[in-house]
Amino acid sequence: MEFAGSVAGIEREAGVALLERPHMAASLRLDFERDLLSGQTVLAGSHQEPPLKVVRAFGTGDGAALVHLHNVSGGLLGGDRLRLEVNVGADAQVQITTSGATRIYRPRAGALGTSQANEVRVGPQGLLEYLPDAVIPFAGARFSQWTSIQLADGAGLFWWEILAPGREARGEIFEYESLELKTDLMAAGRLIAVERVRLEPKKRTLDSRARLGAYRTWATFYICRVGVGAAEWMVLEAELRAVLGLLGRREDLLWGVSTLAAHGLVVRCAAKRGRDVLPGLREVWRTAKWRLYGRLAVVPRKVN
Amino acid sequence: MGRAEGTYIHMSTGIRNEPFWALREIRMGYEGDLGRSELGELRLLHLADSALPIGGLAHSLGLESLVAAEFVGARELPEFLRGFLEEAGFLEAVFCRAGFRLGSRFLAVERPEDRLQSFARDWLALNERLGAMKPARESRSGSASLGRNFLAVVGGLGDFALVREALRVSKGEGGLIHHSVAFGLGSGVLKFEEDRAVLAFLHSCAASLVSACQRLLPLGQNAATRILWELKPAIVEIMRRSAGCSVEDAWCFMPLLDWGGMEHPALAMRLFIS
Repeated sequence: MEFAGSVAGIEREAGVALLERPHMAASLRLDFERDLLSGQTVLAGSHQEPPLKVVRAFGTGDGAALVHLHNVSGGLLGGDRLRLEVNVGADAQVQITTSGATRIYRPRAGALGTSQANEVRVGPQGLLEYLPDAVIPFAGARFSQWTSIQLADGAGLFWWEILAPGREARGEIFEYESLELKTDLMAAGRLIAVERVRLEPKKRTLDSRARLGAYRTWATFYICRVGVGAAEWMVLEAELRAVLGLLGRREDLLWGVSTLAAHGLVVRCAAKRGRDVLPGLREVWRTAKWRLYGRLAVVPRKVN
Repeated sequence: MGRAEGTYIHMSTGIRNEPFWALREIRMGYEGDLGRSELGELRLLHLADSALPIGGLAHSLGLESLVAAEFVGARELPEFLRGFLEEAGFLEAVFCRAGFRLGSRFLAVERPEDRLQSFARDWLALNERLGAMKPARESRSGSASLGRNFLAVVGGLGDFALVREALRVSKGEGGLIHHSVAFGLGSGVLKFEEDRAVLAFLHSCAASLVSACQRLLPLGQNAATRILWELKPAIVEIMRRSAGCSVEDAWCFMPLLDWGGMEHPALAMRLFIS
């Protein structure tokens, strides 16, 4: 996987030798299908290379399959090149969560940074709920992530990501070296959301009022269902704005919501304390899932 | 001083001095390129002026919400604007260049009218990508309003096939025309010099925001002038940095301004459309 302007590029700029081979190249592919007889979504196929691992798929009681993503090495290490591929078949419903926060460790001196590529495809009338814990970049970490999501006609998506400033409890705030997040979200062949985030706190301070100001944790939540009309998204935007207005004081956390160019909306959060984010995301998820699917949002059972 | 074929040669030093009319010819560039000619500079200044009737004064692009929430005041403004240029300014500069190069590329080929279909596809994709990078609906539509108006203004200045095609295909496909892309395309079609066009665009963005702040904050004319004056080195730096970046890699991280754009529709009292 090529990452233009990625960790490798940053290292080249920094003059770090690229002679050392990657520490680990691994991939995890998950193929989900809806069983026509039972109506239950099943993990029909998978390809797993350590440290990425999924133990099994659990039924959620509403026909969906739930899997927990594990990184058996405990976190992402310098030089890791990881790849996650998720295919959700037609009419299948999938919930993916993590068994804990994704920790990104500082690479050893002279070692490469860490990168992860995520490729996600949701088939016609399929639904993917991606509800992971936070990403925590440790001091000195260098991380690059590229995510491509493709939604077919009628496909749905609930996709959140939470970025912590570091190990808050030990006062480690924005001490990572660099973090790059690239996301392309396509719905029915149309590009509806693109993120290109490059954070280098030592070069461009994140507490600038043009960036995070006094806030520390940042979260993005994409909510999509291909084919739902613009007017319905406007109604949901207004409804979610009312919900978000009740989620806390503006001094502590900011919530914003907006319709995308088509087929969905995005919710953004900036919070002073990371622990305030998840309850809000779940509230948004519950409201939106009820509005779009007339079904309850089932909070994923954790294995830890 | 002696004169030989329009060139002055200083008799004692032997140094050649081109007469001013010859210098102007050199600056005009190739085949009437307006690039750095006086006329080209004047036209670029005109199109980048915030007084151009495209609605630039009606948009704060989320800043009004930040001021209302007291995240940004007159004291924090210089630092905010520097950050704005490093993030949103950089992103828009990259797309301005892409629009410019799209126009220039098609003008450089023989019989560009035969390539209009290919141009239309690239034009729509460029605008779609930039729209997808603007999470706040109001800011997206504000940028699109300025872009459409700007291109219509340019289209009224002459017979420009690419501008006509851009307006036609965007309308036909329901696509948005973003301001930076439109400014780039217009500048390419008018054969301005690329770096100067990007500089002028960035400067007009900064000037528009400072102007908005004069209406939102207790910010006097002298202070506003000084703020804009001191931003100029940053504008030059962003212009230079944008030259080597593709639209696939152009980044932007402005969570607070995104929040401002998302919250703007819910503000009880508003001076600006977006």
